[in-house]
Amino acid sequence: MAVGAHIAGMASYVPAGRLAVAEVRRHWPGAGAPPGVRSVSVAGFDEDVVTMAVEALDALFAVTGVGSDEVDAVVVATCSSPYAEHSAAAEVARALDLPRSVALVDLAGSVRGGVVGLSTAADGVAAGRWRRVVVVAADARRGEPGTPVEALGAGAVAALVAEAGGAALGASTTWRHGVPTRWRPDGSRALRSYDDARYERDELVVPAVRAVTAAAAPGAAPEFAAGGYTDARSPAAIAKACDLGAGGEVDLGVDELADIGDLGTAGPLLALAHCLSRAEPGARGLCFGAEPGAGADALPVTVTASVPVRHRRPETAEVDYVGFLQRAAVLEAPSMAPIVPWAATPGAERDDLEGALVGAECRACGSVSIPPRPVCLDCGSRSSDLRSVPRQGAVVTHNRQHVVAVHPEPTPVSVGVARLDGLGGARGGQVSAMFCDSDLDAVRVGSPVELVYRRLGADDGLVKYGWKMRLR
Amino acid sequence: MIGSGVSVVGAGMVRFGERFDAGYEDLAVAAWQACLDAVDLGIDPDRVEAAWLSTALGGLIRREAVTGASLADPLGFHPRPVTRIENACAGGSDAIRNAAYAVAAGAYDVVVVLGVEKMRDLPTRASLIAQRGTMSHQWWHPRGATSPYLFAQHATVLVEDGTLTREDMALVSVKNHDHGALNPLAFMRGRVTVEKVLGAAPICEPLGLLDCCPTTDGAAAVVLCRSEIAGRFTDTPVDLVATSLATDTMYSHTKPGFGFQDAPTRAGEQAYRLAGFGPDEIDVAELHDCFTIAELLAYEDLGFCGRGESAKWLRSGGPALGGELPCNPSGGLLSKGHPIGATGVAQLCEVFWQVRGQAGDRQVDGARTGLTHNVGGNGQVCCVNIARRR
Repeated sequence: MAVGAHIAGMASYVPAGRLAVAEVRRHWPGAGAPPGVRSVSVAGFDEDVVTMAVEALDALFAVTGVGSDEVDAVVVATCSSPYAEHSAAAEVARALDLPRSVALVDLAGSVRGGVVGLSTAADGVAAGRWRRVVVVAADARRGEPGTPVEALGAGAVAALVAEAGGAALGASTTWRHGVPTRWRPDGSRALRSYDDARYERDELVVPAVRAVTAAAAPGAAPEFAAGGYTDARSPAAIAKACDLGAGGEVDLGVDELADIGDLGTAGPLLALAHCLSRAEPGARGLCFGAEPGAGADALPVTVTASVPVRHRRPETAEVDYVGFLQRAAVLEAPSMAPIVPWAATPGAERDDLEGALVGAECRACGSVSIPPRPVCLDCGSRSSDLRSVPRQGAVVTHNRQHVVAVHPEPTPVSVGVARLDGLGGARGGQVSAMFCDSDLDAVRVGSPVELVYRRLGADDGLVKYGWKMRLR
Repeated sequence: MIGSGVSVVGAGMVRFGERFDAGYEDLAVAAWQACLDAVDLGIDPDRVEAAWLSTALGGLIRREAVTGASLADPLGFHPRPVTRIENACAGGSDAIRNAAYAVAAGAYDVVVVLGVEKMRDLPTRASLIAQRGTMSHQWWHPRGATSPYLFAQHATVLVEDGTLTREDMALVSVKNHDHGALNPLAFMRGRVTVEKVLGAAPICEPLGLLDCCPTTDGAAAVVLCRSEIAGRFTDTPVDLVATSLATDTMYSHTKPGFGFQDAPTRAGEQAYRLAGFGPDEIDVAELHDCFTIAELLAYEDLGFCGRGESAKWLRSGGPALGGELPCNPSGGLLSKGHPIGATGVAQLCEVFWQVRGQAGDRQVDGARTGLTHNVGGNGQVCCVNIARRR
């Protein structure tokens, strides 16, 4: 490498909400839960991966003193972007007004993304392509209700990777291993799992982590080993199985794991931030991330000077299970200002009266006002009688519409005016309607038609009925 | 004359078009500044005592109630009064009418009327064309009806009874695009041919794409003042000699017939009565050619030619530049564009420039008196204004 890549600062954000695992178990007594996890952090109604990433990056800029206009690339790693397609990195760059020329790197679809993002940034800096890169890993995942993976944590962790900094990054290592045991099908928002935690840990995670950590730090006992975990009991077990050192000898950085749960892509980076905040110069360690069934990645980290770290932690607030489901949009609260289907309104009731086949026949001139009016359309007389009107008539004018938002009828559709048989008046005695069941090429002024009762569309599932005309 | 006299002493507008570069406020502020800058002898902006704002779609597109503050705020005009007017496509001219009466009543010496519309904050298929006739009123806009339908229903009747041909309508589009090619503020500046108009995609038969005005962003503004003080602002004031609004029924099927429009006819008659002269003294007209057929109806409704003679008059060159009574020298709605609330104000801008000899390549020689014709809905409302150089 021409130049080294270093972490020059880290910052994190964990949202205020806390869902107690006991609260979930109260509702799903038999479902199981991640061992050792007391609660998980829950994003607010107005929070998502983008807003949490912005919080973490904002704290990162503040703690490092680097300006948002000095960034060459932004790497966003997440499994729970608000978009299945559309760059979350672009949204983050837009929110923080990063330079228009900033490189946007989106890493999605695996919790390995956090560590992969760090190594991507390190490679870009070491190769001289970028001078300063911000990496942010953020997640707000949830699992299928009533399963052991239902309650997952939410939060974001950011790192500044630059040519100079307090923690030197070495060459990353990677290893593919196993078959998938945690997956989210296309179109679903909930993680599913093959519910066998010991198989997952011992046969899928440990072999992959052992492979990458051995390759990243051959022969050396690390002073810290920052990883991501699905529960709070496995860190010690994995460290031991992978020869990373027994409890107390190695800093695992899992300070908050029992309080906030599995942070997905952000988990290894949060552990690294905790480790770096107390590592002495000269300390050597690792950051690694694993997805059960996909494998693992590790990055060697050597501390040369103190690394500024800032954690943003709003005061926590307890969230009950229903509140959690609402925040996760499993239960969707009705809007306080619903879109009103017109067909259900008082106005539609009046429209119905006006849309009926009823007219006001003038006692003075015989014109039939449709819809009924208190004053005759033609002569202005105020004396009239309500009467039903005939359904047969003749076309007065008509047009074939090619650009019109009707549904489900295909375009073109024709619309016109008809004079109803035997009704008097110049302005009176006519109706407007769409044609149905007719050869539109055959419609002419004067063509005989009849009115038929049909669907006039649906609005929010409410059907509107009324009159159309067809050639007879 | 309107009351003790109302004059136009400034006019300005922004380039009409797909103004993705400018928002509602940007367009309004630019038109406001353009009309004040255009006052010959200058005007202290603080002398403007009140304003009228015409905008039709603001509430639909911006998803909020649009008040006069939407103009006052970006200008820093508050706390002075701004009245927002909406009257479908005729709102711009009706705002002028309301402002003129406030000046004529002596309430204000100097006011500004501004029309603005930001239509391309929506995709074109979400525009007026597509929005009608889905779940609307059974009779008012029957299912499947669109904005072009409101005028195309006249065209069907006139084509089937042999009064008009599709070529006659196409010639309106050719003429107005020819005019618009000369107007640097117009949206569609390319010329078209009869073949191109007839070959364009059908929209609402017998109308095709080039029979229809484009979805447009734009803004326009005029300065009105009491006629007595017009000399403080210009040596060539233009007097607003008539302003008239008429209504008709709402429904297409309760119009008295097709091939003519009642509200425009009555608004024209009343405007001529107020002005004290008829169409023979009109030198230039800006007509509401939202669709080609609409301009042909207007010739007859306003008495520019006899009933049934619109095609003949058009083919004789009467409404073309250099003809007997040039219509839509600006390019009209078909070429210049139709930002709903701004249209009527922009029509008066064109008349102001024409009667003062400031219309450049599209100047109507010797024009002194001009008329604007601004129709809302299916002829539900129409406002006609007449202005004459003093």
